[in-house]
Amino acid sequence: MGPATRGGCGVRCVEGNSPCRGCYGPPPDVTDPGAKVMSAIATMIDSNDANEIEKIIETIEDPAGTFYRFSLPSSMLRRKFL
Amino acid sequence: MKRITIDPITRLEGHGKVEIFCTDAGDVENVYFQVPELRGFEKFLEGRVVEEASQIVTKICGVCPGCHHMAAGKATDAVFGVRPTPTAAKLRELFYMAHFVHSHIAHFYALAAPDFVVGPTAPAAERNVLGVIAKVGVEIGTEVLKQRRIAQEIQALLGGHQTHVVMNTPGGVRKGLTEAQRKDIEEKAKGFIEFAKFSLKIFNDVVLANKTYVDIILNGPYSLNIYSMGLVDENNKVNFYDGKVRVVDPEGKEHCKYAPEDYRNWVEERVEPYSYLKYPYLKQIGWKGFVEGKDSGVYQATPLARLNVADGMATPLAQEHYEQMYKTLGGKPVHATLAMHWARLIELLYAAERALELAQDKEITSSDIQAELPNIPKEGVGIVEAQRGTLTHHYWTDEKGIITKANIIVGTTNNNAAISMSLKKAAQGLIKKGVTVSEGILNMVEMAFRAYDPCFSCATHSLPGNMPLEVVFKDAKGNITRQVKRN
Repeated sequence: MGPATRGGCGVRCVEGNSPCRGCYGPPPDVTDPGAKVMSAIATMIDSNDANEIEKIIETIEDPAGTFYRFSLPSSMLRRKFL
Repeated sequence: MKRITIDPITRLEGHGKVEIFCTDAGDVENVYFQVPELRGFEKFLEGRVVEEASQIVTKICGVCPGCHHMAAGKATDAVFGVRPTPTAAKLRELFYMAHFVHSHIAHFYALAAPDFVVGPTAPAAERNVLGVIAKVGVEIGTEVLKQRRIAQEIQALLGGHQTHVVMNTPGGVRKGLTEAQRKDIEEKAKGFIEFAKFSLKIFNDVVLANKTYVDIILNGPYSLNIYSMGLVDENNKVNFYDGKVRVVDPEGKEHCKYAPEDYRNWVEERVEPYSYLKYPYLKQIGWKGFVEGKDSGVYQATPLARLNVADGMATPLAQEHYEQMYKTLGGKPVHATLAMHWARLIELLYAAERALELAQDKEITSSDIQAELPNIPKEGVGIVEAQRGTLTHHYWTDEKGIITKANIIVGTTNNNAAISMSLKKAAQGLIKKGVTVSEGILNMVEMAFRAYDPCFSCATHSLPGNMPLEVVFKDAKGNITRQVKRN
């Protein structure tokens, strides 16, 4: 969640060899942190085939719960499940 | 009828309230121990991927996050049907020993010691951690904080963060240990052993050398003749991280010894309308109400219970003190509630010795820290000993590893019925007709729960962070005659 998360934590989880979960919330100018993470992930998907892209995206379990983990109560999703 | 309310109760983790109902004459008729907080972690684990559980549950409590992390880690191993590699298991246990060291130090010096070092009926303004430091000296006070900090630093090193631990993966840990780090921990563990020995000496000099205190421990209204529960290793020695849960009856005879996955054959939970905290009891014995004895399913899971169920300690110095304790208190099992403080310090010494053993283990710096995960996730139970009692996490998942149901039985929850009964006994023993109910007397009632080192934020899985206490006295008609409040 690093690319869409406010810093200042001292990257302790990453230092602990664990992925960032975004617990510091989104940076101040971001209104939709989940979309920002999806955007960051999209840049890593090395394919131009729509079906393959879809398949890769499907491997992400619970995208709403994961990408809005620490921002869901105030997010643009308005508590909707995806 | 007179009603005395202690709300909030103090020097514990979380919130609690005690209601004492007296007869017109002034004797105690009944005591209700209430936990008025609720959190609901079992519910919001649902829908999350199970690998994340061990990080979510650290938020249950800031005092014992490592316990939840470990129980969740082990439950997650079980969900995937794997065992962690030997190095991973040892790293987890090393982290966990540091966790016990910091928590047991905090309880003894900050929460328990004021009652003994300063005195059970000393003025409240002095009966606190600062009063303890004033008595024992700033140098010792500094050492207490230092050892606690060092233990926290070891947790942070191994777990990524001392409170929001990110250590466990299914079947492993995320990070190994370098040789330099190992050496550093080895030295620190030696320091823990010295400090634990010193703490036991304080207990010996301040408590055991004082006839009045020994009399309170052995003959005061602080004793409960009930079952004991605790985790033991394959040699039936006390173990905090792994093993089987052993339960012994009030005479010390084994009632059962179960593997984590069988816990529901042995433990059942029930609710009372006046508290958010559940009341687990031994299923095969059954719930007979808040009563003592062999026929009642009430049990305790505390440091004393762990020593009661075990055949001994797995480390030499702790074993010496274990033998000394039972010799002094008249053999096994011990039912004196206040002996929990002694047992806790013996456990501190064990945790320190075990930390040194692990820090000197040849395997501990191996890079083999992650087992393979060949199985489809399903269901799993993980049990560790939290400082405050046996901690059980049970998760059910779908085939993708999304949690569909979670059940958590927290250390303190095990002791809910026992704490209620201890409070009633203490109140009945201390508050009688003709006795002026002073703040000191009320504190001596509180000592009955304090020995358990209860953590209600954990037990109700809860919201607020500060701890208020109030005692309300009501007459036979229910009119409030007196209120004692503490904030």
